[in-house]
This record gives sequence, structure tokens and C-alpha cells, in this order.
Amino acid sequence: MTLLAVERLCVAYPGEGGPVHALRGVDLRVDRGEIVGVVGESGCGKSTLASALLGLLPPGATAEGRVVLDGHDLLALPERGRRRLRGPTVSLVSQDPMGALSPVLTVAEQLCDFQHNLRLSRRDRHDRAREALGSVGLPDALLARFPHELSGGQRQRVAIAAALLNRPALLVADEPTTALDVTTEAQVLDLLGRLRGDAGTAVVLVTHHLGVVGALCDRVVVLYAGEIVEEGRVEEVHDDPRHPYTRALLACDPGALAARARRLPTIPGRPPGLAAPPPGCSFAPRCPRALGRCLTPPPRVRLSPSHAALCHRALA
Amino acid sequence: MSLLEAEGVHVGLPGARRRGGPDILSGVSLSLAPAEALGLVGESGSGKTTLARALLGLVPAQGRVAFEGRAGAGATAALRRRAAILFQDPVASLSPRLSVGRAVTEPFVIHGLSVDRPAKAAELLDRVGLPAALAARYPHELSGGQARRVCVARALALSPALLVADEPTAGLDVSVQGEVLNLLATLREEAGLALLVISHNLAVVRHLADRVAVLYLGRLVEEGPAEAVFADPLHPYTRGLLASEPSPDPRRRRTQAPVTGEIPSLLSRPSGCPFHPRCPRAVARCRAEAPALRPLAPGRRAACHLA
Repeated sequence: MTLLAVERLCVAYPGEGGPVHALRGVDLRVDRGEIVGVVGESGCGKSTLASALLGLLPPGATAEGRVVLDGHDLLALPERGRRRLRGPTVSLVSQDPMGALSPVLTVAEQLCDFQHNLRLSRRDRHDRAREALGSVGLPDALLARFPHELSGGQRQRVAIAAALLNRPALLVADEPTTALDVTTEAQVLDLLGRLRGDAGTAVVLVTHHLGVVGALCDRVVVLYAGEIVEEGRVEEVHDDPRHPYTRALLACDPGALAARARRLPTIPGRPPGLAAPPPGCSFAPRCPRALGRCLTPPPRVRLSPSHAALCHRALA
Repeated sequence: MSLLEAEGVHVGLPGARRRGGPDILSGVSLSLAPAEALGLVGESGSGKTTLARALLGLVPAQGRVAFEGRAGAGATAALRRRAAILFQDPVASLSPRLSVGRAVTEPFVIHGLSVDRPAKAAELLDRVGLPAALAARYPHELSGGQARRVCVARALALSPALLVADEPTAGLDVSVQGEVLNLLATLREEAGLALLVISHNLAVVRHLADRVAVLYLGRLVEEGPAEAVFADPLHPYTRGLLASEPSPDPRRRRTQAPVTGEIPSLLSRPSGCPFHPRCPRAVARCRAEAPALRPLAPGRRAACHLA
């Protein structure tokens, strides 16, 4: 069942030399309980997409298209209405949990505050805070602590517990494990995976690490220069990537190389400036397989009911 | 002959004077040959950065560190001139008020060497693959990858014999990570630079290092040739670290995190083997007796009763 439908979403920011087109016609559907990864380099529009899903685009940004979350079009809704959705319908876990937690309140106080709109007694809120902490594998003793007394992994778990207190239908996780050790990362990924089973929460996971996608997601969308250049089930995209950018990303991951390499593959060049995106395929200037026709807009080639790539040569 | 030789390096907690009190590092012995690359791995709080700083004489430490055959004050003087470090946060390690050109040539000023600064800056920037025009820029105008390269250029200024790189790829996109790692590998081949690479990204260490040392709570728990350690880790902690790395292949998905719990506080160091509370194979002996780091195969050492 569709929980989130993003349709032809375009977002632009004002820039010195005219508008910067951060997202250029993004279509994305997420079902209830589904975990979808969004990958790409810095500056590809990942964080803009995450902000749009929360109805938190910065002032000055212009958006076109539709972001329909649980039946509500976030772009058409006034701020009051969007605010009502945050918490019970959509929540955020960010890369830096210190930024999400108040340094002057204990964990218990913050977890109670997050339930302000639930009309519960103080006692019930406190009980639910303890329960939430337990559900992310943390002991009750941490309730009385301040964020600075916690380790990075503990803070990220508290941030996840906070995001889940309102039982959101959708959790947006923006690089949730980037600041963590591999051991803690594995534990947090486990936790996010269990949410689906326990609470039926859908997750949109923004990351630049394909390992995280492989470890957790059902589907993946690859974002490049504000466009989805490939999408599919994680197995399809991993086994048979059809967009050269996806191939390059997979090849660059030092963890993906079986043998020790003297030289690691790289993607030469940088993503194009989005004030004036190239007229044809946005990856063509960096693409090892580019042909003359790549200077014209590429078609979205459907490779299976779930797998598609935006490339002239997706079938070649 | 080894370039750097450390024996029984001990770093106490600031304020804890007496030996036997809480420590950050204890009994760490390592050596590094010229042009060799040694990887230092472990979780945050394992003492990787402290060890690197202790080796360079940047934090007060006990034990013996010899550099190019000299120990004591002689080693410190040689290290200042012949060893360089890339700090974890490249932007924070560049002065916001110095242009790139001045920053990369500052080592000459510090060591009282007269050079043609603009020419030298252009040469150093070229070696790390940056255009000479970048010399006029300031750190806030650089991308993450550029700032990292500027730090490498500065580190190369005095033609060091040893480069310590603390998390050289942290915060970089995968596409740029490879560029920085390839640059370090090239410098090593061309200039015979020895590398000490600190990283919690095991894949980075696997591709860059000849040997790996694994630290846990301030103790060396395993050390050996990179290929052997990655193929067949002897210490359960090393095994857990390797198994924790997520794979892009969804068929290799785990159902459970391989290492449970977190690294304990330095103030509540577990008895016996420091890893025993998290070790899936711990037995009574592990709780009572700290295992010594012992040779287990040619060139390989591990500190585990069960290895």
C-alpha cells in the first residue's frame, strides 16, 4: 500500500547566477513498511529530497510537483497542517544526533517532550519514554543522563527512540550511521531493520554508503544531479546496475573490491553545477561510455517492473 | 633497519600520574620500516589517535620511541623535521587566515629555511594534483577533497620520511575517497614515504596498508601482514570488526550485529582480557587473566588465550 508518492518533484534554490535546480523531476513511491535507500554523491540532491519529505524545505526554495504523504499533499498544505504531520506521520533521524537533542535536558525530559501532542498523563509519557529506550536496546539508567554523557551510538539510539515515540508511518533517516563505528553501525542497522517488523514503519534512508543499502534496504534509488538515474530492488541494482553512474559508485566502494587493489577506481570529475545543468544526460561529461546521442535527454528505460535506468545505453 | 620503533608506549589519563592508574594506552610496541604502510584500526576510544600522537611526541608518553635510529630528545628533533601528520579534520587544521599558498609553505618558515614561497607552493600543489591558482584561496573556499589535498601538500613540504594520516578519508564521497587513497599510494611509491594510516574504515586500510595493528581499549590485540589478518583474523575482536562491515551485496546481509555492546570507559577497564565482556567465546580464564600479545605465526601476533 502506497504511503508516500512523490510526483515530478522539482526544487530550486535562489543562487547568484539564477536558480539552482536541486531536484529535477523526481518520482518516488514508498509502501508502508518498506525500506528505500537514496544514494549519490554530495550535492546530488539527497538532503533536499529528505527535507521535502518532511515539509522542511528552507525559505526561498521553490517547489513544483507533488509530495503526497499518507493522503496529504505536503506542498499544498499550509505550515500548520504540515506541522501536524511531523511526529505522528513522519519523523527524522539525522546524521548528528547532538543537533537533535537538547544539551540542557535529560534523556527522560526530552523523550517526554516529544510526546507533547499525545494528550497523555505525565506518568504515561514517562512510562512510554522508558519503553522507547528499551526498544532501542538502552537501559533505564540512561533516562537521567544528559546527551553529553552518552556515546555516539547511544545518542543515535536515543534520537531513534525519540523519532519513534509518535509511531510515525515514515521515518526519514539522513546518514544515520555515518558518524558511527562499524560495530555500532551494524547494531543501529539491525535496529532500523527490526522497526519494520515491530511497528510497520517505512524508512527512507539517505546515505552515500552502498554497504548500508545492501545491509538494510528493500529498494534503492540512485540520485545524480537532482534526477533519479536508476532505481530498483537492491538485488537487481547490485547484480545488474544499468546506469554508468551506479556502476561507478559500486566500483568505487573500497569494501566491494574482493582483492587488495594497488589503485582504487574513482569517478573523474565532479557532478555538474545545478544552476545550468547540461541539456542532455547529466552524467555524460563524466561517463566512460558517452556517445553523441548522450547530449540529448536520455529515456527512462524500464528493465523490469521494479527496475529502471535513465540512460540511452541502458540496454547496451 | 626500522624507521620508527616504539617499545612499551604508555599514556596515562591526564591527571593520573602514577603508573598502574587508569591509562589510555599501555605496553604498545610497534615498528615501521622505511616506505612501509602500517594501518591502525579499532573503534572510537580504542586509542588510535593517542598512539599516533604519542609516537610523534605530541602527547606526553612513557616508553621508548626511536626514529631513524635516534631515541629521546634526538628522536623528537628528527620527528619534527622528518615526520608529518594529516589531522582528522582538514579544514580545522588549516588556519582560516592563511591563504593556501602560505599554509603549505609555512613549514619552511617554521624551520628557518629560505625558499621562493610562491614557486614552492605551486610545486607542492602540483604534486597533490591541485592547480597553482588555488594558492590564493582561503580554506573556507575549498571543498572537502581539496582541503584534504592541501593538508597533504603541506605535509609533504619538508620531504618527510613518515606521514601519519588520521582518518584520511573521513567525510569524503566514495568517488573522492579513492583519489585521496591513490594519492597516498603514489607518494609512497615515488618518494619512499612510510605511512601510518589510522582508520575505522577497514576497507581503506586493506587497500593501503602492508601491515595492520588492531587496538582495543588502549592495548594492541592483534598485529600482522594486512592480507593475512584480513583473510584469517586471529583475535575475536578483529573478526568482529571485519564481520561488522556492511556489504553492498544484499545476499550477504546479516541477521544480527556481530559485535554486541560498546567499548567500555577507560575508567572501568574490565578485568583480564579487556574484550571479554563483548567476546562471544570468552571463558573463565579471559575474565581473570590478561592475555599477552604473543607470536602465533610468522610476523603475526595476537593477544588472546584462545587463539
